[in-house]
Amino acid sequence: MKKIIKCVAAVGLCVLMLGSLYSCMSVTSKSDTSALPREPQQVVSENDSKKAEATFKSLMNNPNDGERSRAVANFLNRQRDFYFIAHGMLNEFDTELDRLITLQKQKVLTATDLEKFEQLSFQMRIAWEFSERNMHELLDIYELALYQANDTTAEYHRASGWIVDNIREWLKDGAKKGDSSATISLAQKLDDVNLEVRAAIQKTGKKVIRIPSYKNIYAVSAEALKTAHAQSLKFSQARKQTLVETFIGKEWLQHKKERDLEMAEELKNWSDSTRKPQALDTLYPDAGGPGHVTGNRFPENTWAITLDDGPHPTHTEGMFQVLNNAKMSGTFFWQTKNLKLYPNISAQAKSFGFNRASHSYTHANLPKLSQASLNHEINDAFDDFEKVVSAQPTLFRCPYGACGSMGSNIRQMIAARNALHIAWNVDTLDWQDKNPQSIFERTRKQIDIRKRGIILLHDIHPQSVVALKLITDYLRQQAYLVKPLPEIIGAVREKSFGSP
Amino acid sequence: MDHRKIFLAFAIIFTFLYLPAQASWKLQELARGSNALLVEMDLLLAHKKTGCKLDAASVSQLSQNLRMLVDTRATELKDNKEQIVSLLKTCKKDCTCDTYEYALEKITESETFSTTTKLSAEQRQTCAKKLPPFCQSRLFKAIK
Repeated sequence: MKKIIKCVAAVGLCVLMLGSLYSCMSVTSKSDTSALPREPQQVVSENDSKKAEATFKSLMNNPNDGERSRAVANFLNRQRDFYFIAHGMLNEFDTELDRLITLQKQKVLTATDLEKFEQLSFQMRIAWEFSERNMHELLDIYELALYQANDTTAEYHRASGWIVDNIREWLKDGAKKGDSSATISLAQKLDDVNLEVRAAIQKTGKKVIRIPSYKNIYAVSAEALKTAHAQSLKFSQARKQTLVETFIGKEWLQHKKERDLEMAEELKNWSDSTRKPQALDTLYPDAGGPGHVTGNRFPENTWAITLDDGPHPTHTEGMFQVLNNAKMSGTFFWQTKNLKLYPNISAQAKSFGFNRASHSYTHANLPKLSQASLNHEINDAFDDFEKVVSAQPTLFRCPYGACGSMGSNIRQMIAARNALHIAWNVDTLDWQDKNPQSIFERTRKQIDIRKRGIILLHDIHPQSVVALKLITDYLRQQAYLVKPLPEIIGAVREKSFGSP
Repeated sequence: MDHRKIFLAFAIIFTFLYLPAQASWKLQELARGSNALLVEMDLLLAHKKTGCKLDAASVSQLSQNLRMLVDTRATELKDNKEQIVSLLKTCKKDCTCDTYEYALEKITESETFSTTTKLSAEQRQTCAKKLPPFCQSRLFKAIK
């Protein structure tokens, strides 16, 4: 019996260890304890309990309970203030976005506005991650204090009890001096911790000693929420420039500099004497930027419709009919596997004058593949495409849009086949939505914001055929131009571009 | 065999048993995530406050990453499509029918399982509100 108990204990321990190890591997964790974000792409790890425990212990490393509780209170104050700053920046982003959308509607949006928007988007991303990180650190420390406060034998039971008792006042103080709306959201998150800890203690059969509820702070009327939001906006507008913003400002300058360096690198390539004459083009088969088409640089009011994943025995022909009736063109990105099954559909596309392009052999996730499999998905796909279509594809779209980064092996392989990689800037999300009307609404709004570009649909779903009809009707009503993708590419690079 | 050896043996066994179990997602979890992403995009385009504060391009990228997981899960369930069919019985409650239909279409190459459910953006939002915030979920982090 003892052996069984030992085995079960060992198994449990293994599961816990491996579970946390896996969690650590699956998210980007951060090793330093500083409050400022170092890189924009770093994301807080919710499960980084060891880090929280270390911070908690260092805060409790004080001579008496009074100083211990003060140290934690100071730490919570600092995290709360950082959380408010991040919320303030998010508010600024929302306000600016509203302003730009108004300008866009009035058709007076300038390049300076767009530059400003890019900067704000950058700031917003950092603010969001920053806000998440600080909030989770705060919640982790609160959770540890809550456990200690509910365990009379715990080392820091007394100090933790004082901390928990003061949290409600601390929240009220935050709402009064800081951001009311952010305080409400914080109270709700703290209450989630309360519920979790209560359930965990009850599960062990132990008595719950001290678990507060902040429901009366966050479960308020819609009117109160509106007032809190208005107060938050005022708070955001009135607050002074902080160290955090100085930090983000520097990050933005670095980001801008790197962006310029990328452009300089491209310029360097353009002046390289080994380049072919096509180097003067703005778009040409290349593993970097010039080989990647998003549609954002298309002439205003010009659209290309693209349809992925087919040919499908019924829906692709439905797409042909809709496009043909609307007198509009389309480019079909097909899997070679399907193309070989339905060569007659390819012939039909040709007779309608639609373009055919490659979407790999079997729609595999390319970055996960070995070199041999990549050869099949790209090189064999091109070769077998040619056998059916009697021409090499000159346009390629990676399945799931996943091609790796600029200059990756996959992009090099596509460029080596003399093809451009085609992305999109309007996503209908038609694969996950069966309602043609809502697909259309989503697409219409993006079309009006973008004004130009590439629309992504799929020719393997029945709802997409119906949605395409609504989309083409709208494009016609609004007098947008729908042109063949190779023709638009030719116009952008001022040199014709062919595609079967 | 001493305790350290027992511990090591179990550690090795569970490395193989536990990790693959964690890597696989429940189709229902993915389907709920799909609904949440549609809500995110629709709120964003309606200029309303969104949960995850993403731009349209990011939602599109997350949608592609999610589709990758759905495709993988659907392929895993290829010989067990009854499991997906059974999910269709209750899918209207959490707006997940579309993803199950997508998975069935993918593995059976037919549309015989269509529930003809056509959800509005508002209905999707109602479903999403009943669930914990998607942006704080494990799935969101996995596809981000």
